[in-house]
This record gives sequence, structure tokens and C-alpha cells, in this order.
Amino acid sequence: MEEKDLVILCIKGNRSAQSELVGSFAPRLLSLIKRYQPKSLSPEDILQEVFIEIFRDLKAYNPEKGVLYTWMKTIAIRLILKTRRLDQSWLKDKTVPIEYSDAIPDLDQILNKMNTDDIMKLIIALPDGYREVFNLVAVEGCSHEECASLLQIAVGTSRSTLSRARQMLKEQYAQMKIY
Amino acid sequence: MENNRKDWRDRLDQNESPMDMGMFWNSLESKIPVQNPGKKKRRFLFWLLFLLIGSGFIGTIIIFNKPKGKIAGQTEQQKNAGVTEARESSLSPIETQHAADEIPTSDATAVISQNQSSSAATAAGDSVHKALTKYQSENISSVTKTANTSDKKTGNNSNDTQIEETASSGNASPIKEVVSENKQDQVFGIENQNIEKNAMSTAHELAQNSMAAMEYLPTLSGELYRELNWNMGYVPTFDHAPKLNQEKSGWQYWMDLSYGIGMAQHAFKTSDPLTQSYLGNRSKYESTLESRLAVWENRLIHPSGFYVSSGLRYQTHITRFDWSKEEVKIEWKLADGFVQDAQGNQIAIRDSAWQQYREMREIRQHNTISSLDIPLNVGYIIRKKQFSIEIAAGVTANISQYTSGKQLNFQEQPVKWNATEELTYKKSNTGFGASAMFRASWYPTEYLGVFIQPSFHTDFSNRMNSGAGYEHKIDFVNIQAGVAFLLFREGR
Repeated sequence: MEEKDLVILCIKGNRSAQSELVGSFAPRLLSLIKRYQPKSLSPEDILQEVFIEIFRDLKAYNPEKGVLYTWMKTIAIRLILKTRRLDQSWLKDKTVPIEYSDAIPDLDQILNKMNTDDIMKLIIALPDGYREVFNLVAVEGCSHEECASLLQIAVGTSRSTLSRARQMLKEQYAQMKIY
Repeated sequence: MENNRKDWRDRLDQNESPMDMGMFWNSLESKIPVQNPGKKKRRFLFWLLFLLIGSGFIGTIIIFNKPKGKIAGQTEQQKNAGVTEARESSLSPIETQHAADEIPTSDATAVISQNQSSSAATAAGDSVHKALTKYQSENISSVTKTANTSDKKTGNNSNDTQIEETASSGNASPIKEVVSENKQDQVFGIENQNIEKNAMSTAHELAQNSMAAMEYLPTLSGELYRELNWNMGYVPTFDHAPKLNQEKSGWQYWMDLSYGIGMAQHAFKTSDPLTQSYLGNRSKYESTLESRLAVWENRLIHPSGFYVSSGLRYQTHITRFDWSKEEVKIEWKLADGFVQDAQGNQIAIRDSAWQQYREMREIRQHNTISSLDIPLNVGYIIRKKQFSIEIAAGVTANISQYTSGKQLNFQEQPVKWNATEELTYKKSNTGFGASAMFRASWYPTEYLGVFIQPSFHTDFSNRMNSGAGYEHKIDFVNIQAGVAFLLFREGR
């Protein structure tokens, strides 16, 4: 069944279609949630809230603007960040020296050599704010302006945080000695 | 490089976490929201109302300005009608022998000249006709020609013969008519060169004195049954009506109070992609509304009916619309998490903790939007007797806009709305807008008017609602009824 037809049936309240939608996307969204919120919340609870909102706003989905998973992912990220927005204590963390460099050349090569679970472990180990900036900019491909808007921080803070996050990943990678 | 980066990103994006799908679906199924049946698109109603108001306005203008069909038709008919028709009419009861003698041919045709004085002439004519009608009914058999044939002067030239008749009423002769006869086409022309001035000044008097009007029977006898032109006469009957028309330009100060119903169209705008997602298909929304309006208006009006106006306008709109509201809820419950040991290893733990999560709620808001504006309008008013219609449009400068209201929460199925909280949360910056209105009024007195007023109002600028994260723009269509008080007037 095509996504468009599945969405129509879900809007009409067809339970089997809704179940199929959940079964198709829940594991990926759960992985996404764990990548953003690994520590403090039950990811299944967040996933449930995500699907409640997805079903509530399903009429707003426009297939011409993108695939369904991208739209669902946007809702999930927004919901995750909304709950995180209240806590910005990580902004005061100055323990890592600031380097205004967008890329550490060898990080991508390191990550490409690693399997996905190990990459997940590395990212999950990042402190909250760093993890979110890294996820948004490095993984999702947001610009620093978009990231700053989503997290309600300054663009410069987004840049410096990404730089710190990359440095942290390299350090953690060295400590874990995965390879 | 970019390909390398994309590789791990894609793998991460497509990564799936194992989960117990059956248990998850069982817990989720009962929480999937049912589509709110009361939420309907009403945008077409907004524009339908707009079109109805517009077409109503145009129709009223047409009807109000439409000349009396009888007169128009008769005027055209009159151009082609001849004395013959009138004279041959078997209903002609008062044609006299003298009059017949004075008309040289039986098939002569008379044409009442369609000159500039026609309306004035008809004013007199109407009076005369009424007098004649009254006289016929009273003493039709005694109608005789009263003009003195000795007053007639006949002149000839090579082409035509002019018969000039002077009707006199005693020594004073208010109307002098010249009847021209054309020999070639046997057409009579009655030229009312002097009738306008005299008729206008004596129309009312004539209408009240039928006997005086009968003095003109001799020269009008050929026209008695062509009530066409004469019926166009206009006898003022404004003795009981307020003097609404301006005789010269002047100021009018009005205080208007009105109340009505209508619709509002809300448009939301945000640059935040997540808020945009949150707004979803609610980026445009309609709501029903009640509206109250109080206007102090200073109007500089020209006798033609055109005016410019400005003043101060205070309006409140009470809107009702459905919305979604997000809440952050905090609960004490078990949570899964990690702790890191000294070596940086993550250890999964499950413990009780405060958890916070966001919840979307369907709500219904009853908002009161109050605004204070300075309108600058150009308008046009048409008055007839105790009635008037007018149209005005212009720009508005908004001084302030303030929103308050209450919120009803959607609780459960079947639909149940509970009032939970008061809202007083929005205060906008200033802005500019435009408004247009059509008004039909009735004036029982000169200083009091009762009106019905369809109107449209929009703001050019979106208003950022404080703390909401999005801009909110509202267009209004109203139909209001109200009263207007004329506080001061000059120019009459």
C-alpha cells in the first residue's frame, strides 16, 4: 500500500491502517528518540506521544512536500526538543575549549568505519545540549540558523557547541578504543 | 568527503531499535485521537458572506438610483406620440370647440419639447394634471375654454406658422407657452421656454389651487391625456421629513453605536519550522463572531453627497474558534536511563523520576479582540426623503489591539467542552489596515438615524502575539445594526 493511501485510511480512522503505519515507522522513530533523549525519559512513552500527535495532525501532511517519514521525524524532533527546551544548563558548560571549526577532518572517516550501534553509543554519551546540536546539524543536516531557532540559542552558540561535540566524540572514541 | 559523511548519516537515520510492537500498539490504540467532528472548513462561508454583502450593496445602489420606469417609458413614448392620438381618444371629455378650431389639422402632432426645463415643466404639469383630474371629477361638463381668443397672435412665414397663445389668470400670467406649427410635417411643438422658472416657483401653489391651474386648459387641451410628461412632475412632500440634504459644504459630527454578527478569517504566520508544523492546517482558520462598534466621526460633506471623514473607532469582536494547545506535563514515574561510570561506560538503569512530556489538547477559545483605530474614509451618500444609502472606504491606523478570552477544553468523546481558564494574553503593536462599509439608513428625525451596515475590515500588518511565537492576522466581515446620532451640523 502506498504511503498516500495509508495516510488517507488512517485519517478515516481505519485501525488496521493505523497499526500498519505504527509498525512501519515506530522502530525508526524509537531509534531517533533514543538518539536525542537517551537518559532521562522513557523513549516508548515519548514515542507514544509522537504517534498521538502524528495521528492528530495527519491531515496536515502534504505528500508533495516530502516523504511521510521526514514529516513524522520533524514532529518527533520538535516534540523531543520542546520537552528539553526548559533545561539549558548545558549552555553554561565551559569545560571544553571553544573551537570555531565546523568540521574535524577525520571524524567522518572514523564514523564511517564504525557500525551503527557504536555510533549510537558515541552520540548517546554526549551531554544533552551537545548531543542535540550534533544530531540536528551533523546528522539531520540542519543549518546552524535552523538549529539555533529550534533550540532557541544563538547561532554562534550552535557553531561552538558543534565544534565541542565533535571534539568530545573524538575523545570518547579514543577512550572506548572500539577498533 | 561528503559521501563519507552521508554514509554514516544514512545508516544512523535508517537505524531501527527493537521493540515489542504488540504491547506498544495495545497501549497506543486507545489513545489515538478521534477526528473532531465539529471542526469544519468554513472559509467558503466567509467569502459567501462577503459576496452577498457586495452584491446587496450593488443591487441597492441600482434600485435606489433607478429612474421610475413609468416615466422613462412614457418619455420615450411621448417623443413619438402625436396630438392625434390624444385628440382621437374617445375618452377626451374636455376638448373644446375653440381649441379644436385653433388646431389647423386633425392629424397634427404636437411635441413637447425635451429641453432642459422638462423636469420643471413636468412639475407644473403634474400640478395641472392633478388639478384637472380633480376638476373633471367635480364638474367635467362645465369645462370651457377660458382663454381669450383675442389674446392670440398668429404669425406666418414661408415655412411655418406660429401660433402664440398667452394664457392668463387674471392679470398675472405665470406660464407663457409658444406653440409652433410646422406646415410641412404637420407637427406642433410646444416650447416651454419660460415654464421652468415660473413653474418651479409656483408648482406648490398650483398644486393647492386647482382652479388656478384650470386657467391653462386652453393651451394644454391637446395634452390632457398625455399624462406622460406631466406625470414626471415632482411635488415636494418633505414637510414631515428631516432636512437631510446639504445646501453647501459643511461639517457633520456623528456618533455611531452598532452591534452585529459576522465571520473572521484568521491567518497565522511563523518563521519557526516546528511552530509551522504545529500550526499545520490551521494556518488559516475561520471563526464566527459578534461585533460591537462605537465611532466618533467628523465628516466634511459636499452637497453632491461626497464626503471625507475621520475620527476614532473602537470595536470589539468576540470570536469563537477551535484550536490546539500544547502543555508540558510532569509526572513522577519509572524511567529508563543511563549512567556513566568513571571509564565512560554507560550502564542502563530504571528508576523512578520526574518525567516531563508535552501534550497536545484540543481547545475552543472564545476571544474578545478589542481595537482602537483612526479611520480615514472617503464616502458617498445618496438621500431620499427619510432614507439614505452610503458607501465608504479608506485606511485605518490601529492604535492598539488587545485580546482576552476564555478557553474550553475538549475532554472526551462524545464531545464535551469544559471551561477551564481565563485568557488575557495578547497585546499587539500598532499597524495599518483598510476598511469598507455600506450603510442603509432611516432617519426618524434630523439628528437620529437607524442603520444596517455590512462592513469589511482587514489589517495589512500581521500582529505578533506576545509569547505565542507566531503572527496572527484577522480579516472581518460584519453585518451590523445600529443608531447614529448627529451631534453637530453646518452647511444647511
